[in-house]
Amino acid sequence: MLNRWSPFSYILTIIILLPIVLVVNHAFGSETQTLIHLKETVLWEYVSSTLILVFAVGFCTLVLGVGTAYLTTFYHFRFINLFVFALALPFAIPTYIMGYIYSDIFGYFNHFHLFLRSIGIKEYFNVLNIYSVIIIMTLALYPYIYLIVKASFEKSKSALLNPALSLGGSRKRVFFEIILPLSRPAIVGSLALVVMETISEYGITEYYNVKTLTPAIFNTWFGLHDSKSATYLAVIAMVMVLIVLIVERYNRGKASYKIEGANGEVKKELLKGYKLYVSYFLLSLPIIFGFLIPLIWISVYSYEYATMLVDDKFLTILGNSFYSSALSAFVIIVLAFFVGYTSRIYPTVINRYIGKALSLGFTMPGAVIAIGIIMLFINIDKWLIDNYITTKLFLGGSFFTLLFAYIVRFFAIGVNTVESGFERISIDLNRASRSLGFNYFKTMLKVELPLMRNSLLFGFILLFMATIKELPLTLVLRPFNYETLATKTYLLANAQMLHETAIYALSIIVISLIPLSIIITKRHI
Amino acid sequence: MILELKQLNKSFDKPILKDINLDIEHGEIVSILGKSGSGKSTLLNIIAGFEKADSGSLQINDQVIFDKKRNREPQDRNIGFVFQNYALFPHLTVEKNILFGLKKTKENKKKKREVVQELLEMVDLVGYERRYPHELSGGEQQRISIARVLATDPDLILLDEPFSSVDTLLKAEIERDLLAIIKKSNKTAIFVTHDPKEAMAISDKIAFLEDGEIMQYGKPKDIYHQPKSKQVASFFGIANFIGEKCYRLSQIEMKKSGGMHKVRLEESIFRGEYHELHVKVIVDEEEYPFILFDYGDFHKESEFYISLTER
Repeated sequence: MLNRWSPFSYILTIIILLPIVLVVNHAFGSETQTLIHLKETVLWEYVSSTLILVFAVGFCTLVLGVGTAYLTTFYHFRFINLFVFALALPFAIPTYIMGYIYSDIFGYFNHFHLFLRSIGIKEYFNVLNIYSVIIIMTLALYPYIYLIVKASFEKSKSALLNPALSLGGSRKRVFFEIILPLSRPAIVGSLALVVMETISEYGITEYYNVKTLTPAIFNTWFGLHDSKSATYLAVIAMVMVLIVLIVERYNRGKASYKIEGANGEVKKELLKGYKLYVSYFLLSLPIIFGFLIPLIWISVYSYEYATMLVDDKFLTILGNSFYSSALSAFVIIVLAFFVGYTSRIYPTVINRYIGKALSLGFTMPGAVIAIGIIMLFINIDKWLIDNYITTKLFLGGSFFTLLFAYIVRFFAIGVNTVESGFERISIDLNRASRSLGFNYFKTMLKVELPLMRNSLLFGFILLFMATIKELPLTLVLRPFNYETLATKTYLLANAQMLHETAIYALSIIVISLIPLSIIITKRHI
Repeated sequence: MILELKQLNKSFDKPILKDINLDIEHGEIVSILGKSGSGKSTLLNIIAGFEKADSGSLQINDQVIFDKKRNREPQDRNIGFVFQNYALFPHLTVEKNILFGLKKTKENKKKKREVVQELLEMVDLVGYERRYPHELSGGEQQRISIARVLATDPDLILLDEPFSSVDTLLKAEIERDLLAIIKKSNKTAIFVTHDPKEAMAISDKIAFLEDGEIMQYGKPKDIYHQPKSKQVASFFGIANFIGEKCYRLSQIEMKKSGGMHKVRLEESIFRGEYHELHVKVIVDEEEYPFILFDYGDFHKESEFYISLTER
């Protein structure tokens, strides 16, 4: 349908998908020397270590996430509410920061080995290996599964546990035959998120020298200056992500997993005796290692270095982070609101799929987007210079590049919150306003905008949190000498100044904790 | 003629509306009656401008608002729409809801206040200005949503299933109130409904829609007593046929002896005030199935007689 609203969405979609298209386009063509060399030597290592990491982290997060969700949903014990809340907290600590902290704790001159030597053990355990990465990524990423699966468990529990028990099933049978199968979409969906994060992870894999595709893409591009090979690797990473997406889609299939309503108060089984202590122990592990130890480490060194590091430079970096995250979160939410409103008032087939297309950037590894955007802006700059419109780089290295990268990467978050917000507002309100004399634009401002205020604010907070933690894109695309909390943490860590990262890491975590707490408490998980 | 529909057609995957022609005079209350899926809501949405017909034309006050070339936006049609769930703006007070459509006219504040007061009086909700929609009952919300529509002084009011979410016990009362408000305002109104009793009670005319076609359009009594087809006849109430001739219950007199036709009782269902009798009427040695309401004790007989009056 032709209208004045849709073209905006179409153009935005094309612009946002352009970097990804450029990467694919660039990857195909004649093979360069390095590409042949790559295939003969390290390609298999990149792919295999990515696959190993994906499977191992996937398996471990699955066990930990589903296990914690199960214990906290179906059993009752003292302090359960505290555990429910605390189990989500590792989410506030970015994976790379957790990685830096444990590399320090297990460093040769540090806590762990000092302790070993004090009791007479002289051996050195090097933790910079893939096994550590698996454990740390599990600790950092299991909350995805925990939060999503727990929400699904709670829903099916209140709707179906009582009816199923009344039909004579045991609790165990009901769980394995009804609740677990019903939660399959939640489990597979959250697992897909974990897998995508794993493929995309840059900070920790690079630091621990685990040669997965993402660091390889960056190294090939920036270290070897071989764009062909870099895009080739990027396409391999994209294919992996696409396989995950297809599996997730296919898994959902046509079966309906929609559960509504509640059937009676559900009595949770009270944990007693050894079971209680084993549960306490198991539930405490991820909280201690995923949150408390990192937090203590950060607090101690923040305190130690506070006087030295909290200066104008720190405040500038803090300001940069706030500014770039707030601005991009605002821009994304405004754009998403327009796109969502367009598909609301013109629910054509294309408009319904446009949200999905715009979300593709979120599933793609950050490295793919980074090199896609570099290619796009280099081409534009080249054209501008060739046509004497400008004499120096216009877009490359500008703040706009970074903003655009955040838009491509995080548009999905905006679209999702906006769409679920719109779903709760009847389209009749829009029609009522129009039949009372207002056009689409004024209706949007007078009806939808005020009613969507909370959804938009929620989306803004989520986006702010995502951008402030974001590392690889920021690192590669930020303007020259422009530091954010994430990039400064990265640079200090790579300069072996781990303790100095504490104050920056603390800032990120505090900023992330506020919205995280809102989400956990507001959603009553 | 306030509204004139000519040859309206609309299809999605299959035809929803076929060659709809409809004329409505000023001040009339018209019901569009049909089962779910008959296309009645689509027709209402097309009149309001929320959906677009594939072909045909639509005129209001002799002005074309839709045809091959033109398609006026809903906001430019001056048609009021009362939604099934009232669609009051939840973030605005009753007063602001009513004023919503008035904002664009450049009348002063005092004048606007007066309008709100007038309308609240009309719908009998004076003193509700500062309340929010969620603080009102369903019936109150409906009256406010009508007040909101009346504030813009529309040429035509459309009401989509206005009684569908109303409690059965309150329905008659709310029907009466709503009708009174519309009559008082001297407006033309189109109701969409699936309930023939409701349609007959409130409308000057009924357009009976089935499978996207208007099967019959006319006054309630005419449709009831002179239905154009057996389908129409059965939809409006108990319809008994001898050949093509339809007999309503009021045309049938039951007699223990001495009637025109002999009747054989087949089944009797107790319905409280009456027994519903399923019988066979014997006319010229042919048997015709009839349904009769027995307020006496005919259900105890195995055979009795009926007399029929012609209209």
